[in-house]
Amino acid sequence: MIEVKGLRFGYRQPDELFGGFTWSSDRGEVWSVLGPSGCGKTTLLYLLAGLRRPTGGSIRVDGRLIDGPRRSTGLILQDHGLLPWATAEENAALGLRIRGVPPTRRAELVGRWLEALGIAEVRRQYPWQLSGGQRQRVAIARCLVLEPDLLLMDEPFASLDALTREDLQELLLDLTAVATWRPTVVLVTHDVAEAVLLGQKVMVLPRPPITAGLVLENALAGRPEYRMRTEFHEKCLEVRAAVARARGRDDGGCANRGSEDVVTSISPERCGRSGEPGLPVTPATDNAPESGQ
Amino acid sequence: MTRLSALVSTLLLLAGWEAAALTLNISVLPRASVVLLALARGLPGELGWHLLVSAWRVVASIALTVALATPAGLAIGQSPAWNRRLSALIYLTYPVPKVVLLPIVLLFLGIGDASKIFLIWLILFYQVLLVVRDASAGVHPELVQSVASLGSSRWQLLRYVYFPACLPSILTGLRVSTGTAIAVLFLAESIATSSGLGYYIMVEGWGRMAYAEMYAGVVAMSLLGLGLYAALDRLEKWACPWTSGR
Repeated sequence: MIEVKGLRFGYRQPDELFGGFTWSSDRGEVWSVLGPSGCGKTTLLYLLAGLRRPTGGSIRVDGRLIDGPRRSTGLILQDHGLLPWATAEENAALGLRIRGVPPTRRAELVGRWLEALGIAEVRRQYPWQLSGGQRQRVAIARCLVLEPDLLLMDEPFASLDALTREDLQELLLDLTAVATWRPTVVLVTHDVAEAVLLGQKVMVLPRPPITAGLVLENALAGRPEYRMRTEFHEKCLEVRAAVARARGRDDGGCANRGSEDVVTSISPERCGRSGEPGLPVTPATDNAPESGQ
Repeated sequence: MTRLSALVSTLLLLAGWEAAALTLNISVLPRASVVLLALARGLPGELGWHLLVSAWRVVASIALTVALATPAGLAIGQSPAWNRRLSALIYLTYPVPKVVLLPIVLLFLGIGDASKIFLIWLILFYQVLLVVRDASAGVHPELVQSVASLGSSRWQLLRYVYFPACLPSILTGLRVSTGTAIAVLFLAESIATSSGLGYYIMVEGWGRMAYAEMYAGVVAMSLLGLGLYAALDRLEKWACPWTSGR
């Protein structure tokens, strides 16, 4: 589905974010991408979305060389990217409108997704009248109504409170599970627990220039109950250690040392219903809830 | 401002005027009631025609401004290279008081509508050009990227992102410039012309010492400014509903 070969890109010469990066993904896989701040995670998404042009190498999606935005790629951003002058309904319908879908068909499709996402009652409200969670649901509706075969998400839940974030993570799992078209998902996040919960594969990017990412298999991902299991906690620790190595220091323990790059606190509470990032952590695997085992 | 407070303010203003005229009792300050009668007599006739001529000149200037300054501002705002190239020119010409160009404009465009419309357009153009340029340059890049990722064309980006982002600024720019535009119109119409409220006030009123008619012309010009201001205000509320209540 995605084939990146020898990708080169940098905003300023001679500094390169990607110095011959190679990576591939099969159709329908869900990838989480983690890495130090400024390493190029968001840029990778923009490159995959066709919003940036590589200076070298190639990106192919579904066999087609990416040299501009691709109609069946969806992009969801942290700040939602909603038009302030359009209502929730108009925002959700924007992609269909751009594609020239007739108004009646547009209203039918959008109405269905707004219902599915639980925001039908706020359809006539403007983004500033919505909560952060509702705004992100509108952004998700705008993207999914187009039935993208590639879904790119840039820290989509980062600005939300813990409970809303978990609701939306579970909603995303439900939606991708029931979606008839099984999109390939690339999720950039700073949150280790989110990466482990959602990503069947977790890619940890090192500091630039990047040639390859460290890929960790995470076969149990994709089910809300996963976060209640010991394996989830262990996977979080494994990913966290990989991120610490990528940041250039061995930080394999569980103690929280702050979160300037990545939310690294992996408390049992966080592994279950979320605690706040940055809380002191006791590495108490025994205390982790074990329901679902 | 409520309708009631507007009515009360107007009545207070008229009462103060009436009282001052009665107290001073001089011919150059006729009573408000006399002026209002002259206004009522004149509006269906000659004064009304001059008011329409002036209104046409301002509205034409506004339309011309929106048609030219909006695309120019959008283009400059989105192109840092063009912005750099043109900013020096704008910086140098913006502070020039446009009204001093009146004799030159009269020489080139004559004493008809064209010279008045051009002069008002010149004033409004800069205001709108600058606000559109700044609003366009200030559109959040993530918003543009997010809409671009939906596969929008350049035209669709302008239609769905840049133009709505600039619309409140365009209307605000026009609204705040209306007063200046009317003032310049008065000056332009009071020189070498035979139509418009400026002509009516200066020639038909002041020149003939018909002070009630002169004051009626001043009130009509004030009403023209007020009407345009209110119309633009209403237009902004209608066209930019997302800005109200924030």
